Amino acid sequence: MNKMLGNKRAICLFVLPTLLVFTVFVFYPILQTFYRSFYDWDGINAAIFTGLSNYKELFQDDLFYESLKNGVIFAAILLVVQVGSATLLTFAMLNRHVKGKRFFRTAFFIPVVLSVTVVCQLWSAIYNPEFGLLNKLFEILGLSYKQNWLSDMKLAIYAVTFVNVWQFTGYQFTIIYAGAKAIPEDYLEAAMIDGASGWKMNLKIILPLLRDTYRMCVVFAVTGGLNAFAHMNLLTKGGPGTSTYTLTYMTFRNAFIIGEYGYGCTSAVILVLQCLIVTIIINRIFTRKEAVTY
Amino acid sequence: MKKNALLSTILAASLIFGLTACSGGKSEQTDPPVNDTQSNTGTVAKTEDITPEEESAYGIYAPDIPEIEGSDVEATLRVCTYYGGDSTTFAEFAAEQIKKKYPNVTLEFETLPQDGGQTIKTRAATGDLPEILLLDSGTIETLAESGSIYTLDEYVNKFSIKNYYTDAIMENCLYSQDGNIYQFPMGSISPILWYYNKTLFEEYNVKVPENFDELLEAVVVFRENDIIPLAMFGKEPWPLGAFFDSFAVKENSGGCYALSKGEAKASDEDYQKAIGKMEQLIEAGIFQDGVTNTDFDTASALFKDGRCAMFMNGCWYTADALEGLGDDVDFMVFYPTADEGNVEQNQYAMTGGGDTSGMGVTKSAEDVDLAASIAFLFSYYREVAQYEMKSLVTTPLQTDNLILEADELDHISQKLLDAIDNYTYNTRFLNTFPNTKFSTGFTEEMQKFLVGESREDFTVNVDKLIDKTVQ
Repeated sequence: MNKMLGNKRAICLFVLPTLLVFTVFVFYPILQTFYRSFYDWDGINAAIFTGLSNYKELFQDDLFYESLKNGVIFAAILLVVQVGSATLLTFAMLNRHVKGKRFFRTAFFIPVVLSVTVVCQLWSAIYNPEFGLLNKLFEILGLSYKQNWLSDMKLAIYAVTFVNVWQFTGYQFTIIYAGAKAIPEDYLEAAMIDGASGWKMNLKIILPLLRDTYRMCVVFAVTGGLNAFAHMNLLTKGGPGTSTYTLTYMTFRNAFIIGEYGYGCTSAVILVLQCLIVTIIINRIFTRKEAVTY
Repeated sequence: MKKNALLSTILAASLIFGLTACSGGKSEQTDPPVNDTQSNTGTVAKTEDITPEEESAYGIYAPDIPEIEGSDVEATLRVCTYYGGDSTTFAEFAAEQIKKKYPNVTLEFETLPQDGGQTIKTRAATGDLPEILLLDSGTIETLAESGSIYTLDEYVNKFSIKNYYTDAIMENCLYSQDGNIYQFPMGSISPILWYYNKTLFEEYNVKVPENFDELLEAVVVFRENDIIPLAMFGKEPWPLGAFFDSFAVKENSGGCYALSKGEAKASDEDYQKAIGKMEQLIEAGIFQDGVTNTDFDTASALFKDGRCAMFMNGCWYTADALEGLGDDVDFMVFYPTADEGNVEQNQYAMTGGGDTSGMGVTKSAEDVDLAASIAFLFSYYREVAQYEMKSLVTTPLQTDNLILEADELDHISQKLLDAIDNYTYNTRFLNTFPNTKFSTGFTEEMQKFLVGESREDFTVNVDKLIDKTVQ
């Protein structure tokens, strides 16, 4: 094994294919996007260099700020509700008294493996104001809280976000649960001997030891929220009006609907920078002064 | 160890085999495209069922076009067009007729993707367009600018297409913005109609409205009785534009098309009148809940199930409507949106109309003459099939030599045939505007208006949009 790790040629040989694929399919398109953001381009004909005019137009565009706002709302809800719910589910599954753990672990993960299209069709029916399950439930309970979930300009973004929360909480749960199970039993036994139990164990012992796991979960949740697209495209097509636009949807609209690929690239560049900055900040917050190994 | 290596190899090989098996091949669209301007339901005679005796009864009038040199050589041409449901029957019919003239030419059909031209533009960028392609005003400009399609001006004269198409098509649907011709027309001049459920109107003792006051009264009565007055599929852009135009054309026949060209503003007095009327109806509850999230299938189902009184759609919806409601369905000859006592102003100004759409020839075609000939014949025979098999009275063709399959027209088609000569079109489908930035922004503003944005905010935002997008 040491011979293998000391063999730089072998390392290059095994890393090169993936690096090549990453460069061609990820890094090069990012560079191209940045390059094209300085052009007026319809996707087919010759591009015309316009300097920073796309960026100037973007920062004066109300839609840009609305998309930014919706992205932040989406990310915040995913962070708090999705990661929070996944944490609570993990604590529940770690509890010795809970039966049927295998069944629950499978059940939590089922929505993750469903296709986004199927999930959105399902929730579109649930949210239907006339015959949907949600409004009918309120009706049965005698509540007059019927809503136009996907046609209300204020509610729609929350309704769409909740669908994402529902679908991918299981994914976060799997990561956090795996991290929690990897903690050696000795730590937990030692804590029990010292008198910690229940919530104290979870909050004072398990959570701090899952710092690195949470770093990953928080990055997934926040960047996933900022560049959300699929759910709003399928559920509301960015509507009503523009109330469920995110920067990704704005990029899609400008590039593929209007045909202004250069302007679309501009919002894509801002999105990439946004995700990069957020990831750096999250990494800084979660960085330990000393490494912990067990 | 050796066993594990063998197992890994087998697993990797089966994965690779599975991936390669998934690639390639054409996929046929099994459902008709949403924005297909043709009706897409009802039983249709299959072309292979037509006997030689029956074939003559269809009165197929073969266009007299010059022979093409080299047409005796074997050739395969890819044709990207509507394909699925009834469209398959029409396409196969056209292919069969073309085979009689060009027995050595084989047509391979591809379904036109319904994605606003994105796939076609991508294929143009990679030089992979099919030889014959269904074009529309959304794709023509970009493809022409990039040199991906041929101009067909010389073929229009060579094939004397004016002998086969109506004057309205030749005048309105042939020339693109740059003055050239890029397509042989396919698709009719289709008015947007307000269909209504006669039974519901009779049941609730509501007069079929002919002016705005009667329309408002009808909306109020239907709402009181838990009937949706008008089902709208507000998830798609063009119905929103059509709804706006139904009111705007009474004041300015240019409708929202005039706004997109900067020829008018939403704050103009005539448009304010129209917007005010729409606001009143929206507040009275003209649409179903969740209107901006309703797709065509849901809205159509509401109408055909008798849960809503009126439905707005193109005249291609007639067969669908008859299938669902039979004799209970009818349509209003003009939009009931004018002031009482002023009904005659722009009475027959309609929205919808035609588009510069049809079969064009791309730079992938090696033999341009042959491809142009096939493109014309395909456009022609496809419309023949639609007219004769589906009684499409708004056909773009001259119908003197064509014979309808049905013994008589249904009551809606007959009524439309009687009215259609009165119709004028100074606006068009929202998704066919050259100013796509305006039409996209306008769709968004209309959605906001439908869910409660004030008239003032709507007006200000639309005017801002005009200022921003009209050059």
